[in-house]
Amino acid sequence: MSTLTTQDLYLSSFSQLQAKLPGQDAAWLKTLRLQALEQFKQTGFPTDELESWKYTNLSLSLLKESFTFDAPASTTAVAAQLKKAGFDTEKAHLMVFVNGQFSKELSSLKTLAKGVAVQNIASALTNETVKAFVGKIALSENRAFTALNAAFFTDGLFIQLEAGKVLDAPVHVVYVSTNAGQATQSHLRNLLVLANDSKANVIEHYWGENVSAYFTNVVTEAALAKGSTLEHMKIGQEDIKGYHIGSLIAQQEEGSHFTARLFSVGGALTRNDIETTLGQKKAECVMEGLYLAKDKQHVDTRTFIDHLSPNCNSTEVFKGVIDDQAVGVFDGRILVRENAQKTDARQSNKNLLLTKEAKVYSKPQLQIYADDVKCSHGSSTGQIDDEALFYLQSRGISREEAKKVLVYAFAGEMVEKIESAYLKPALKKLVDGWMEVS
Amino acid sequence: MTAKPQEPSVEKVTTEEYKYGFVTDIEADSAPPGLNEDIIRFISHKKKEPKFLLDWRLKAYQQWLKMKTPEWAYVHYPPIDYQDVIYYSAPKAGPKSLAEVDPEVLKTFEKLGVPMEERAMLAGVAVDAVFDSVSVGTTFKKKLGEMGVIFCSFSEAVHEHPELIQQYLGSVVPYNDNFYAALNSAVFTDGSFCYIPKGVRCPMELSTYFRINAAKTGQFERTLLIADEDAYVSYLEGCTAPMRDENQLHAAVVELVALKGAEIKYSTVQNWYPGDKDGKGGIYNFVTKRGACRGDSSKISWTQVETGSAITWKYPSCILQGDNSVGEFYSVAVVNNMQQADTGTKMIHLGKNTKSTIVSKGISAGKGQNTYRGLVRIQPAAENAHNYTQCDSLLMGDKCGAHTVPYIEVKNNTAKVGHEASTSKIGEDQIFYCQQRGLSKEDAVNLIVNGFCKEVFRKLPMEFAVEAQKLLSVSLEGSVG
Repeated sequence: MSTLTTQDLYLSSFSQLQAKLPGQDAAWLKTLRLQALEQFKQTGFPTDELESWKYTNLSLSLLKESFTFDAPASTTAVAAQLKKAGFDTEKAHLMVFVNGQFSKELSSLKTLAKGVAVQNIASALTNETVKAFVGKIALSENRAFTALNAAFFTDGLFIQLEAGKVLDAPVHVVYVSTNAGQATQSHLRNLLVLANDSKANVIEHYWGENVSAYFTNVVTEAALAKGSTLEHMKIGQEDIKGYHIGSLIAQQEEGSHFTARLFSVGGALTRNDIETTLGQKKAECVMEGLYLAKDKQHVDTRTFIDHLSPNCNSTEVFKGVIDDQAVGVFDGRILVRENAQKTDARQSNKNLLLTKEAKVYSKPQLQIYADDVKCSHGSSTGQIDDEALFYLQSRGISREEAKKVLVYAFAGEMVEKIESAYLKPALKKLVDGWMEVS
Repeated sequence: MTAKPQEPSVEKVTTEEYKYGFVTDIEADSAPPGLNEDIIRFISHKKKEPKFLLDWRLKAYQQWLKMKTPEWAYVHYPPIDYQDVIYYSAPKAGPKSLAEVDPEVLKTFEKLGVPMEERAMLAGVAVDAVFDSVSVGTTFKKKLGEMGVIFCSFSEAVHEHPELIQQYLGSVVPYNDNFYAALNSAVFTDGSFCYIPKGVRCPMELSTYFRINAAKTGQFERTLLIADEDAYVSYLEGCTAPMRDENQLHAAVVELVALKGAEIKYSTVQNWYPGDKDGKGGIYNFVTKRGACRGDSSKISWTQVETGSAITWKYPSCILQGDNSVGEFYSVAVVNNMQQADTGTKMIHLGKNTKSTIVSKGISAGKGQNTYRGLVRIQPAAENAHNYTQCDSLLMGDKCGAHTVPYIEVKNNTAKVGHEASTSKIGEDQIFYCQQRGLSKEDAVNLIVNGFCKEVFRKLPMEFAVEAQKLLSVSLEGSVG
């Protein structure tokens, strides 16, 4: 199926679906959806002629498939699965979405303090905050998937913290795709609004089970007001038949701290866009990520840090381990605008190739218009050090075991950086598990 | 206490008139402005070219018509009207020897300090000087001839060595490579040709001085340099241009071929008119430079010092085909006032054990915008390829920009590819330290900038290194105030 017809399919589906989408009583959303659809119509799906999609050709993968909007209602033993994966879910607010729909039965929220809202966004569409932010941070112009998401989203997470409020336990949100035979799609929209000096810890966790091909298209918008702190973790554990396109777009005010972490192991094709605008002075952002790919997986990570204001810091570290015939793409851009004096921006991308057929495309970019700045970036790509391997073998460790030790030495750094006691053991397990199978 | 003499202000230096701005008035035998098949036939006829070349030009023209101006570079300029450019102009009478060369032309070279005749002898440099589009003199030809080295103007080579032209022209930069290369292939007027036979180590540095003259004439040089097996050559290219109000278009193509065991060292000092402080005038420099390491153990090394031009769009590249071949790129790019430079390199690793090194130093001052754009590609067959890239940027002033856009594509796990980049400004503490040791602020800046560029200057032949350092201090004097 060609790009054009896939696009047409979406355009024609809209009129039928329109009445079923949430937000029938929110006029603003109807307008937003129509505008987004118009933008999608103009933009069309990205081709590899577009610089931002240069190394990810969708016409050979995602656009060849056809996905239905009718998601079957399924249940799944999420809590048990999470336990098995090493999460102590009792210590978190758990929210579960199945095939793009919120599942109240599977979710378990702890008591929330006053001034703290954690709910599914479909139940908050008349909320003024939702109206004020949705579609304002992640713009649909020239972004096919964001536009598509705005037009079609069914649900997602909504968090709102009033000034000074702290969400003590992490919010663990699981997005499960389970379609048993039908190629399904889900469009999810998350919104995180943090008022002055508030603090939240959010985990977006994607997985698929018992599936044929499916497509998850997610957009997360985050607004960080003065002095607020957001720790965001995205775990991509989509099934090998899953396509995942996701954006996390943040806007930061004075002195806010934003940490965006990404652990991506799953998916036939995974694309993550992570962006932040350091809009006011002394804002800080940390982006860290680990992508592990094997078989014929394609994992594409694109980051953009916009230093708009002076005295802001950003640190970025992304690591990738690429096995078999998989492909890893990293495209990181740091923009330091004229005004952004005293910027400190650091970016690093390191890739480990495990086989001859594995490929890596790395494009770390600095774009600097201010002079009193400290900016650097580095990128390296290589394979396991033969001498280190030999050394370990000479100590009586088998070659296979030695390889694992060295891969973990490389990738494990990203796990070790994590402070959260809730996440760390599970992520270690995740990385170990990935190496076990490969 | 006597008053301390005033240090030259930023304004004074940046408003300084372009040193080499003068126009020689000689009657040019020009084609009317515009581009069509007839103009191409006119150029080809004027140059008495064989049919294969005309056909090639026409093919390139047809291709060019279908192509669009590349827009991905971080450079901005008003669209160029390609029908308003004169594609051919030549000094009237074709000179046969130096004695016949228009004295005006010789005077121009003198003003530029081009070593000709005795000066050429003293400098130990063979010069194939290009004045506008027709070569006016070639020295040292005899000495080179004895060793079998061919070093002449491109048009001469077309007549005397058509077989080499036919074999190698377009073999590194095909006529349909990009918009500017296609344009050049269609309308190039002259350039340099060089062939170093098997096993010959070229005894002197070969040098071509380009000079743009005759108002409104775009320059389209074509350089083809072939180093046969185990040959060695060091080639220098240097440019200055007269002052002009209109933007001048320059789209050159340079092709290098290194066969088995050969080594080519290609050095450029580019000092074309950058435009006045408001960015008016100035050369548009869209150059395609590429070298092919065809044979095993061959080596191509590009060194460039770019201080001129309003717009620089230039990516000297190496295609490392032969096993154990080596590609190098050393660059200093300086932008001041309204200059824009988008420059870098491509290293395409195809052969086994190929190595490439990239060292790029960008200096931005005034409102200049400087971009490093580079590609390192390791193809699946390139076992044990190595690349090391280092891009440093220095910012002087708060209105300039420095950008780094590397593309790294690795398709073989035995490759080792590393990229590092940093951006910073000259530290107040560094300047303070130099000043308290008795250096003026100007000298301190010069010292620091020269230190910053040292790695690249070391790679230049000595004569060029001196010129480059001088150019750099002229370009940047007073930029930090």
